[in-house]
Amino acid sequence: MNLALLFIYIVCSVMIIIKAPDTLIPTLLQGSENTIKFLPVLFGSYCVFIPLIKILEKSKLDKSLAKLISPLNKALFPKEKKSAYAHLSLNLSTNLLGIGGASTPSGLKAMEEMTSKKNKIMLVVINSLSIQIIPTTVVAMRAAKGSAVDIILPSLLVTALTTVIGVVLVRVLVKE
Amino acid sequence: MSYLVPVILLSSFVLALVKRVSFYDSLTEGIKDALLLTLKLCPNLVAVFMAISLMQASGLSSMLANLVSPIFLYLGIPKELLELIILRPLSGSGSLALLESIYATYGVDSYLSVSASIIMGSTETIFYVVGVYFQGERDKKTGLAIPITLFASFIGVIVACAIARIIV
Repeated sequence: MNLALLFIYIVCSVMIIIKAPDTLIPTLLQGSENTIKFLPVLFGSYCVFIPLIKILEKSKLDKSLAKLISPLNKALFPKEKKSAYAHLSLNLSTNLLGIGGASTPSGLKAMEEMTSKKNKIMLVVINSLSIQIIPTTVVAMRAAKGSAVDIILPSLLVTALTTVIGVVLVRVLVKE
Repeated sequence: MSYLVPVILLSSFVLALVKRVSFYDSLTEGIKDALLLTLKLCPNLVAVFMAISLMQASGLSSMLANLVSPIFLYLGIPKELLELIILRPLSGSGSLALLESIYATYGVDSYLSVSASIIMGSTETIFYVVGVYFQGERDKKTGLAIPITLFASFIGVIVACAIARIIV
């Protein structure tokens, strides 16, 4: 990220200085101005959805969902300790509910408890494929701009597809 | 479909009532987190918004887009989404900044914006997640984790653009 950004800043500055040197500083100022315009939308979206997540956490909904999906976990991550399955179920259910902050600790604990390298890679792949049911920030950003087209169902379809591809590839390609 | 999110919000309020969760505390704690998170992201956002601004003004953006456009055309991906596709696995706040600038340039319900939204909503900051999960591991080799997720996500991008073409 560091190098990529530096590359962009240098190459673009050179290109701008060749074309129109007076515009370099206004261009940079435009960037910070755009950020300030965007902050209310971002803040607003977090203000709506983070309290919602707090309520879900406090009402232990993630734990009830974890119980529901535990059979799925035994199929995805075979031959692990019982304590690992508790963390795995919580990780998967918090991911689905979009409680990112709560899914990382349980995921890391599951990584510690699991013995199979293949299962560890499976967990990381599933977590990297964004399996949340509602992409809250995108939904709020679109709502703020008065969008009429729904993206929740399409996103869910694509996420489901990529997760299935990921799981199958880990199963087939990764060796124990 | 426009009922979905409002109904989920309402359900969470009812859930607070049924499960006797203190509602006011949940709100204020959540908003405090929201405030801190927004402030925490602010420097990253400015850095990326400046980069976006530089790339557009210098013409680097359109140069890169033209470079990949033959391959992207073949896969049905609009060339304007190149930056988002590259940045998405690397940086969450950065890709949010890009998404916002795509909305501002093309309009929120345009084909490009809808494709970008689905891509954003169905993919993750892969490198960050893999890094965090393997941090505590003695065996740091991530093996096929990154190639598999990148491949699956790229298929997701192609499908997202195809779906967007149907619904817009």
